[in-house]
Amino acid sequence: MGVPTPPSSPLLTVNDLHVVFSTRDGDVSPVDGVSFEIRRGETLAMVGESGCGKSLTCLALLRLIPPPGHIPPPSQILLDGQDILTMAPEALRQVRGGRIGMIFQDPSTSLNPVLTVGSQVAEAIAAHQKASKRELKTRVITLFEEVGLPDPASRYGAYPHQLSGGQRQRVMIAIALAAEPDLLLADEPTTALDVTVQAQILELLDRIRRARGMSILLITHDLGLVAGRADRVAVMYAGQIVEEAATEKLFQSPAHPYTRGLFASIPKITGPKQRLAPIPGVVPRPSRWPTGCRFHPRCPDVLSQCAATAPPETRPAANHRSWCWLTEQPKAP
Amino acid sequence: MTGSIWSALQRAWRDPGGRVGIVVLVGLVLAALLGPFGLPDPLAAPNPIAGAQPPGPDHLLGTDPLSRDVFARLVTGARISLTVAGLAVLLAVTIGAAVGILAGYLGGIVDSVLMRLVDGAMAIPRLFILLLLTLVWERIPLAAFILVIGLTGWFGTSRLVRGEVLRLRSAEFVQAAGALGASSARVMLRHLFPNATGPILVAATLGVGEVILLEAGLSFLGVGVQPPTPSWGGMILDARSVLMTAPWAAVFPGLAIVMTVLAVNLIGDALQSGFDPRSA
Amino acid sequence: MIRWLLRRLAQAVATFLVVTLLLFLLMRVAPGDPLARLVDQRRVSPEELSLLRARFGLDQPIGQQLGQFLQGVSSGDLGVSIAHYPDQVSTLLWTRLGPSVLLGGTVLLINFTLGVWLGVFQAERRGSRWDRWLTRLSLTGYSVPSFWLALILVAIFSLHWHWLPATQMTDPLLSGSAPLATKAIDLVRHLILPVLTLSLVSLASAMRYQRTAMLEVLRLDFVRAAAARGLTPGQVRWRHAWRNALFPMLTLLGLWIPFLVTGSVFVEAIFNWPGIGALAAEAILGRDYPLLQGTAMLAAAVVLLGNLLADVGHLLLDPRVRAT
Ligand SMILES: Nc1ncnc2c1ncn2[C@@H]1O[C@H](COP(=O)(O)OP(=O)(O)OP(=O)(O)O)[C@@H](O)[C@H]1O
Ligand SMILES: [Mg+2]
Repeated sequence: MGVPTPPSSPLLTVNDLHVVFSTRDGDVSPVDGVSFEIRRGETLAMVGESGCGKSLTCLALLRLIPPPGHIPPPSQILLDGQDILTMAPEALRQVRGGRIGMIFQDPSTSLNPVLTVGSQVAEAIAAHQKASKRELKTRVITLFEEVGLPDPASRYGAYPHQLSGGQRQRVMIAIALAAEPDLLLADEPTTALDVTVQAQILELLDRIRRARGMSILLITHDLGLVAGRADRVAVMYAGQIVEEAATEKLFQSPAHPYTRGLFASIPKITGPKQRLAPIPGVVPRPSRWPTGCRFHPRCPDVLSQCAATAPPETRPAANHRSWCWLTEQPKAP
Repeated sequence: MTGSIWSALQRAWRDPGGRVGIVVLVGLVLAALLGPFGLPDPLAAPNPIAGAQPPGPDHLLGTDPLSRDVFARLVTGARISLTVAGLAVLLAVTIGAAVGILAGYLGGIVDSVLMRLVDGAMAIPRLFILLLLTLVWERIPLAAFILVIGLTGWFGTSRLVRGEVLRLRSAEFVQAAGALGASSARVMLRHLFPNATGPILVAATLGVGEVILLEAGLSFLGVGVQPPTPSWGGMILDARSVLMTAPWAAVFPGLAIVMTVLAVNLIGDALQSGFDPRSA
Repeated sequence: MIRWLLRRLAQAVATFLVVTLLLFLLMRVAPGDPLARLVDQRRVSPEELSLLRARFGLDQPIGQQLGQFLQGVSSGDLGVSIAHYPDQVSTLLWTRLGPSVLLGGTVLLINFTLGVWLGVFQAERRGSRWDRWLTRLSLTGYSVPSFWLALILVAIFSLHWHWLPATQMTDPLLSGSAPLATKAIDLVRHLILPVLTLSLVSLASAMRYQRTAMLEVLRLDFVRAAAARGLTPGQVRWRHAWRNALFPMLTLLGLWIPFLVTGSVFVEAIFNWPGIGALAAEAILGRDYPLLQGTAMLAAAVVLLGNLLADVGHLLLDPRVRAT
C-alpha cells in the first residue's frame, strides 16, 4: 500500500471510464468516458433512465463486465490511488467483497437458490478473513442482526426461496458487508421491492453507512429516492455523465435540461395531483447515439450547435458540473 | 409450413457448420442419384477368386472380399441409407405429429392413454424394439425395414408436438379462431401445425442422423438391409473378416457413415441454435 | 415429499406395466410365430416344436397367455431361452450382469468426469477457438458408429500392434492362482479398447449437455454476485455455477444408467465381452426371441429405475423441489 493517503483524498476516482462491447456490427460503447469521485463516508447517487449505462458503470468498478465486453484504456479506476484495472487476479479478488461490496437490483436472482443463505454470507467472510466454522456462524448471525433480519439464528439454514424479497435483500446486504468494505455499490437496491420495504432498505443502508463510516454509490433511476440520502448526485445519460452537483444544489437549480426532465417526472406524494411529465422518447441504444450532445433529439431547449458539437464541461457554480451548451452561456438575470 | 422450412434452411445456411452440412448432404444426394451412371455394377457377379483389390485406377476405393467395387457400392449404399432414413423419419414425424396433435388437442382420456403408451414405449431402448421386430423375419424386406424404423421413431416427436399444442392451445389466436366457429380440425391444421414446425424440424433432422446410425448397426448385425443390396453397415460386416488384409473395404463405408451423420448433425445443430439463440 | 416420491414410484410401476403389455403385444402382432422360424433354421422336430409351443404357452388363448406372461414377469420369471434351452432367461441375464456393469460403469465414470469437465471448460470459453473445436470434435464423435470404431481400434491396437487384447474380459491362459495385481492388470488391458470405443462415441453427449446447462447458469445473476463477493474462480465455477448446472446432468445420468446394465450390443459383441449386450447379440444370431424379450424387459426396468433415481437425486440436491 506504501504511501498513506491524505484524509481529504477521494476513496475512489474513476477517470474516463469506457465499457466496450465488440459485436459483429462493430464496437459499441455503452459507457463512454465517465469520470467521477467518491469520497470517504459519503453517498454518491447516480441517476438516469433505463439503459443509460448505470449498471455497466457499477459492474466495471469490480471488473465484472461479462464478455465480450471489456474496459479499454485510458480508463482508470483508482482505489486509494491503485488502479483496479491493472490489478493481478488475487489482488482483484481481495478488492471484490473485501474493500468494495456490492448489492444488486433483484435479490431473488442474486442468491444461489441451492445454498443456504447463511453459508453464502459465511463464504463471503471466509473469502477475506480466516475464521473457524464456529466463528463464521456467529459472525453471520451478528450480521443478520445488523441488517435487521428477524430471527437471525434460525435464518442461517434457510434457503433463499424461504425468505421474502425484503429479507433476501437484507441477506444480500449482509453479504456485501461481510468483509467490512470501505465502499458499497448499490445498483437499484430497491427497484424489485414493495414501496414500504424500499424505504426500510434505504434507511438501513444509510444507518450502516453512518455506523461504519462507509461510502455508498447508490444507483437509481428515481431522483425522488435521492433527496436526503445522497451527498452528491451524478446524472447519467447515454453512457456519459451530464451533470454532477451536491444534492441540495441539484435540487434547487438543476442546470441540465435532462435533469430538469427527470425532476418533472418524479411522482409527488404531497400537494395537488399533477400530471407526470416524463421526457418524451427513450434512451437510444448505444449503437445509435446521436452526434453532438446526445440528449439533443429529446431536449426541449435544443440550440443550433447541439447537434453538431458535444458541449464542454461547464461550472454553473462551485462543485457543480454540467455538460450543456445552455450553461455555457451567461444566464439572463 | 414450407415457408418456415425454407427460412429455417436459410438460417442453417448462415451458420458455418450448417453450411458445411448442407453442402455435404446435397453432394451426397446428388451422388446417390447420379452415381450409378458410369460406375462399375455394385452388384456385379461376385468373384471370390480375385478377392479384395486395393484402391487403384480400376477401382478408386478398391474392391471388397467378393471383388465388388467399393466406391460403386458406397454410392448405391448412400441411396439406400438416405432413402431408409428419409422415409423412416418422414413416417415417424407424421405419426408423431398426428398423435401429438390428437393428444394435445383432444386432451382427456385420449391424451392420457396415448401418453401412457408413449411413456412405456420410450422406456424400452429403441434398438431392442427394432431387434424384436426385425427378428421375426428371416430376411426382412426393405419396405418392412423402413416401416419398422419409422414406427419406432415417433414417440419423442409426439411428446414434443403435444407440448407445443398445449402451449399454443392456450394462446389467444387459437381461442379466437375457435370462437369464430372454425372447426377443430381446421384450427389444428391452420394454426397449430405451422407453429410447431421449428422443434419438429430440429427433431427430424437429428432423427435422420440417428436412423442412419441405427440402420448401419442393424445391417451390421445382419437384421437390416439384406444382401446383396449394398448398405454401409452391411459392407462393414462383409469386410470384417479381411480387416487386416483389405482395410479399405471396412474403412471407407465407416467414413461414409461418419460424414453423412456429421453433416446431418451439423445442420440440426445450426437449426437448433437458430431457433433458440441461448443454446448456441 | 414422501408423497411425491410414492407418486413417482407408482408412475414407474404403471409405466412398467405398459412396457410389459407392449412387449407382449410386440410378439403377438409380429407376423409369424417366433418359434416357427426355428423349424427351418435348426434341428427342431415338429414334435419338439409343439412341446416348445406348450412350454411357451403359445397354444393357449391370447388372454390367458397375457395373464401368464404378466404373472411370470411379476415373479421375475422371464421365460426360457431358445438358444440356451433349457436355461432360464433370468438366470442368463443374471450371470452376464457383472461384466456389463463393469464396462458401463467405467464409461459412465469417464463421461461424468471428463465429459463434465470439458463441458464446463467449453461453457466458460463460449465462442472461443477452444469451444468451437471441442464442439466440432464432440459432434464428430457423436456421428461415429460404435461398431465401426471398435473394429478400427481392434485393427490398430490388437491386430497390427499387438498392444491390447481384442476380445474377452480376461486372458483365458491366465492361471487362477496368478497374483491379484496381475489379474487386475489383465482386466484393465481388456477394458481399455471397449471403454475407449464407448467413451469416444458417448462423451460428446455429456459434454454438450453440460455445456448447454452451464451456459444457462452462467448468465444468471447469482453467479456474478458470487464473483462480486470475492470468491475464487474455482468457487464461483463449481460451488455456485456448476451446482445449479447439475440437474440436467442428473437427468442424463438417469437416461444412461440402463447403459450400465445392457451395455452396448454392438461393442460387447465385437469385443466378445461377456455381458448382457453380447448376450443380446447372441440372441439375434440364435433367433432367441424370449431371451431378447427378457433383455428388453430388463433394459426398460432399468430405464425406469434410472429416471426414478434421477428424480430422487433432484430431490436431494434441490431445496426448491424438496419444499414442494
Ligand atoms: N452484455 C451486454 N452486451 C451488449 N450490450 C449490453 C450488455 N449489457 C448492457 N448492454 C447495453 O448497455 C446499455 C446500458 O446498460 P445498463 O444495464 O448499464 O443500463 P442501466 O442504466 O443500468 O439501465 P436499467 O435502469 O434498465 O438497469 C444498454 O443499452 C444495454 O443494451
Ligand atoms: Mg441497471
